[in-house]
Parts: sequence; structure tokens; C-alpha cells
Amino acid sequence: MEGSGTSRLEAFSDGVFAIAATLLVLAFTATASDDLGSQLLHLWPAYLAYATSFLTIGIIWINHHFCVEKMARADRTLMFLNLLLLMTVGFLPFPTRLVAESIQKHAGERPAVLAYAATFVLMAVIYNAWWRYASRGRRLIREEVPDSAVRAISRAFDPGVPMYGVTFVVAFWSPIVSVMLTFAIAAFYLPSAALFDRVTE
Amino acid sequence: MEESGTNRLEIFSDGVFAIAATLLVLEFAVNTRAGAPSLGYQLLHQLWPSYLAYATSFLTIGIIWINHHHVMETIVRVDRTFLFINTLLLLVVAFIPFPTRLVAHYLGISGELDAVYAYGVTLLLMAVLFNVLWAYASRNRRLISEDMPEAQVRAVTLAAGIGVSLTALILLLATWTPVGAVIFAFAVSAFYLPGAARFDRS
Repeated sequence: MEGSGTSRLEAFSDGVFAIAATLLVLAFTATASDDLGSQLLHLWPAYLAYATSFLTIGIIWINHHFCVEKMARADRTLMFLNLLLLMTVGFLPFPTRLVAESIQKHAGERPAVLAYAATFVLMAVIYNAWWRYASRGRRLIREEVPDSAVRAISRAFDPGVPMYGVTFVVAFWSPIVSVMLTFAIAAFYLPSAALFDRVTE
Repeated sequence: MEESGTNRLEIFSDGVFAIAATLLVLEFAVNTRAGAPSLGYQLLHQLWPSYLAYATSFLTIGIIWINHHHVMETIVRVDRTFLFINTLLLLVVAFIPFPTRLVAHYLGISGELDAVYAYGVTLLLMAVLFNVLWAYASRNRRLISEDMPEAQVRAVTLAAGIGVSLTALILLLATWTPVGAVIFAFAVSAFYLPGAARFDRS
């Protein structure tokens, strides 16, 4: 199996992260009406979905950045897993728009939020597989990276799938709470990620 | 605290700036239904708010990109907090196409005040976050390169601070004249271009 540096993998990934995050703005639609002000206030589900998706993509990008930094090379399997991850990231603007529109119109919230949560679950599963593949037996890890640093990252990956699984289940009961929970996860992952960084020192 | 180079941050940020600027064109729409005014009339007389909003937002994104570039040149490394503030800044930058479309569609008709408020609040948020980003990087020269003279660091701080006041003025102006506020926003961006070049020289 060939090995190669990680720079093109990073450039390609950064492009997809950036475009997906920027396309999220297309979730906003205002119809022609006299009262734009109240319409802008009623757009709150769109603001929530936009912020949630943008922050989540930002966090995935930040963590991607720190994980790839620990790798000496990328092989074909990692690139394939990376592609699957980017596929779910690039898909995110679509369920984001569904969530924004369905909550505004009070129609179809449940299937929309289920689609949203399912996308996050899939993303978390693939992201986990991506890191497990790279770190199992230190397959792609740089020699100078201590074992403790690799373990700390693995620990930080652990809660991802169960947490997004919870948002999926909650969506059956209350779609809006599910989206707020997803937002909370993004808000939670930031300091926690900073925390696991410090553990590695 | 971990340290890392700034390369990927620049690639990611440049991507968001470039795509946000490019998406602005989607606000242009002509009416093709039967009985609509002629295309020439629409292009020359009816679309002026779109041209104004497009030029203002494009120049504003361009300037924030130039300034971002300049900030990245003065710092030697990034940490996670910096990345997070940067993500928040990009969140607002990527949002700009939406209020731009509102301004383009509502300027001159009922609802223009709300549209310009939404636009002004977005620009203000962006200016504030840019200040937060710079304040975090420059506090006690936390992330600043050693060979960067203190005078230049202060010049950036000053320019970023002025940006917030000017943007706040856009909001104040909007209560009196929404169209004037957007023209002022355009003037601010046009002013900031040579201004940015000047503080580079200092």
C-alpha cells in the first residue's frame, strides 16, 4: 500500500469544508411581504440551523486539522474514508435547509429533523472510523507523537456517535429540542476539545 | 496550549471568503413573466439596489479578507481559541449573502428599514468579531511574530476599532435614511481600501 504526505488531502478537505459551510446560507429564504421585520424574526429556526451546522462543520474542520497533524502520511484507505466523511459534510446544507423551512412552516418538522440528525450520526460514525483506522496500532501516526496524545484524541471521539444518536431519538419526541441539543453538542465540543488538547501535553 | 502553523487556517478561511463573495451574484433576478417591464428597463432602472448591494458586500468581504490576510502575516502560530473565534467570524462572513439579497430586494419599497437593519447588524457583528480575533491574538503579543514592530500592531488595533464605529454609524444612519445607510456602507468599504494600504506603510 502506498503512503504519501497529507498536504493534498488537507487542501481538498479544506475546500469541501469551506464550500459546505458557505452554502449553508442558502437555507435562508424570505418571501415577498410587507412586514419584513416580523418575517426576519420568524426566521429563527433558520438562524438556529445555520449556526448549528456552521459551528459543527467548523469543529470537524478544527479537529480534522489536529488529527491530520498527528499523521505522518495518508494511504488509500484513509483517503477513501476521508472522502466518505466529506460526502456527509457536503450533504449537510440540504438537511439544514429542510430543518429551517419545515420549522418555519410548521410542516414536516419530524422527518426534516430526523434527516438532519441521521446525517450527523452518519458523519460521526465515519469520522470515528476515519480516526480508528489511522490510529489503530499507530498505523499512520508520526513516530514522535506520544501514545498518550493518540489515546486522548480517541477518548474525545468516543462520545460523538452516542450523542448524535440521542439527538436522533429525541427528534421523534420533539424536533426542535433535537436541533437545540445538536447546537449544544457543538457548543460543548469546543471547550472539551480544548481540554483534551491540554491532556496531551 | 498547542501550537500549529497557520497554513490550513488560511486555506479554509480563503475558501469561505471566496465562496461567500461569489454567492452574492445569486441575488440578481429579472422578471421574465408576461407583462413584466422590458429587460433593458429592469437592468437600467430597477436593479440599481442590486448593483449597490452587490458592490458593497463584495468590497466589504474583499477588505475583510485583505485585513485577515494582514493579521495572519503578523502572527506566527494559532491555537484552538483563535481557530474558534475565526470560525465565528467566518460564520458571519458566510451569512452576508442573505442580508445582501434582502437589501437588493427591499431597498426603495416597504420593508427597506428592516432589510438595512439586518444588513447593518451583520456588518457590525463581523466588525466586532474581527476585533475580538485581533484582540485575542495581540493581547500581550500572544500570537504575534517577534519581528513585528509594536507600532504596526497598534496600527492594526486602531484600524479595526475604527471599523466598528463606522459600521455602527451605518445602523444609526439607517433609522433616518435606509438608502443613505447602504451608500454610506459602500463609501466605508471604498474608503477602507486605500486606508488599509496606508496603515500597511506605517
